[in-house]
Amino acid sequence: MRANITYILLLINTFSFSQNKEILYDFNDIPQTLSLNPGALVEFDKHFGIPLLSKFHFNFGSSGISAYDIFRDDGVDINTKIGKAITALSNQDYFTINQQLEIINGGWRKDENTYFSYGIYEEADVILYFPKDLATLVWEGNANYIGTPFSLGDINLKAELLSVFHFGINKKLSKKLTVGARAKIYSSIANVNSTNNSGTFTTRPSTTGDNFYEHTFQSLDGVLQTSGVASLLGNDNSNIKEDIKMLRRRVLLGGNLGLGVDLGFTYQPEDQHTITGSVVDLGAIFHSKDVESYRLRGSYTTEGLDLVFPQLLSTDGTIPYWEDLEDEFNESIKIDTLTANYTTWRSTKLNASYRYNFGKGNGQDCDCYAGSKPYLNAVGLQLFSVFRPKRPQVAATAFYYRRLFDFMNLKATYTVDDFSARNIGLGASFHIGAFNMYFTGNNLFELQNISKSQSVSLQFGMNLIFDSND
Amino acid sequence: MKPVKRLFVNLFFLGFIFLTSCVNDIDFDQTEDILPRPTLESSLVFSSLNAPRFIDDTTQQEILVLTDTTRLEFINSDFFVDQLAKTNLTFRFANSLDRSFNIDLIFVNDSNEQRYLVQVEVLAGQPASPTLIASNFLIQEPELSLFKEATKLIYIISLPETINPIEISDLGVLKLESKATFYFEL
Repeated sequence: MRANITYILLLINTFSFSQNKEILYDFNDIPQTLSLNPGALVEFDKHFGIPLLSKFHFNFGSSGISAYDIFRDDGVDINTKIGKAITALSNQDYFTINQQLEIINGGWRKDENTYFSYGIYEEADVILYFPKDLATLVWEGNANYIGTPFSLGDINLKAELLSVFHFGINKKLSKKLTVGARAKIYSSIANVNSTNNSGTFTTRPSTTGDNFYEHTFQSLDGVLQTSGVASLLGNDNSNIKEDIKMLRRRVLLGGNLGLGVDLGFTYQPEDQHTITGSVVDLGAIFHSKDVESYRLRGSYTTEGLDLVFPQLLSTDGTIPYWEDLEDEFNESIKIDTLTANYTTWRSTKLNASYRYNFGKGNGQDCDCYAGSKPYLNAVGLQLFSVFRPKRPQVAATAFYYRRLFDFMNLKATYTVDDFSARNIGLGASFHIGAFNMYFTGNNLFELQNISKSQSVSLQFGMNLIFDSND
Repeated sequence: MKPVKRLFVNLFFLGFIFLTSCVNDIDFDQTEDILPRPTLESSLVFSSLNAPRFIDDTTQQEILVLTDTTRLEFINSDFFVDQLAKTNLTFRFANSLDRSFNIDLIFVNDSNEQRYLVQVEVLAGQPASPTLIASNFLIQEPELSLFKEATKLIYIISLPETINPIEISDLGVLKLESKATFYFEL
């Protein structure tokens, strides 16, 4: 049990992620910005990501706690620190994982106003709300909570591993307006979710006066849905090679399929002002293969075993009180295994930005609506939101963009979100001929001691970018 | 500085930021010390016996000894055997019968061998003013290991000799409430 809790805590503290890519958004020198806004300005004619190296994205967040809070070496008993953390966290606090790896990414210009892009990427996305009541019950027990209900509704989690095939069109409608759309086919490799639970467990002083306490399971209703998991965990399949084969099939559209769309635009009312917006992953996955779900339902109250001292005894010499209690409980609280199809919605993301370009380079004169290229600087604001089971997660970012040299563009960000109010990020895109390499990372102040950080977002990748104007 | 050289200087700078990121003042070995200690309050058995329960149906005489037994499977479950650090049993009697009782609560194993014994003497009470007795039994090692072998509870009510036995029409009840506080170390 100790080991289990250790793993859970390590998992919570090490792999806690989120979704925001505030540095990459509206960083138009990098082709991958199209994955955040299919209507971004495209200033090149063709791009091709280095396969498996064109984008690696890694983002973690923990809204209420950092590893440092628990594991700092300060002589305080770790159990005291965990107890305090459980008290301090609420059931609105969450841990998120988001990781993406591009397998293929490319694009080409069809004509002056149209750019096509395509690709395949793998994504892992997990959100786990802190199950405060469950954690309290396990950590402290019910003794200090007589009369206080423990809610099953605190269990709220969503985890998916999928591959995404996409194709996008970017279209410049006028000098001022560019729009884009991307169609996506999702192939879910594995999915686990439990987001709609209710019911309580309460120990309270007996209302009948028959005994000290009554223990009540009130209207328990919980569902855990899984797809793609049962066959991997099943005993009849212990061959790892077979499992890998199956996973490979699922990556290549052999999993549970879904459909989605990204939409976006860039609007330049004047050449120095740019407004953008996008909605990403508006879509759903339909789970019908390898589905195994569990449903917990029922109500039950007990005050203990009522010994009635029968004068006429049963053949066993006694009434089977304990067995009767077990039977009553099992009849009242049922766990059913279901194989019914289900649908999950992707965590839809919204982005919006305003950007002010300024400071032209020496002697540059151009059709400035064609993009922000002649301007060396830009400042702006971005908003990000992702829909999550309990409430949207939001972030606001202020940024400064600088075209430092022809071969190097930088973007610095300051972000306020659920994780931190002093998140400084930095991104750099390098261009040597057609070769492009980019790095972005946030929470730079915390990198000196990453354990203090409640979130970190990293992306890096390499592309070949071709532009006939260069 | 040549552009390429600049690029490498900048790359070095960026790499430096990432590579110097580290984990300070952190001791992950503390995970060894993690020990959840939940305390669980649970009702156990209860009963409420009025005067007719102490009268033999056939002889219409007072019964000398009443007994009832229930299995308590959880005490000997793997979870309890491995994780229970101590327990506190509380038995509360309210006697409004004008009759005293000697109570034995015997925790036994499957072979009916005694593993823990609770004995309480309950004095006579009156319908309007019941005798209240609450007894606590803290069970720790070394008794605890023996207690954990128990699978059944036998509740025995003995009626000491008296010149004033219970009549079927007597008012009052002998009431038992009980609970356990389980101290676990997970």
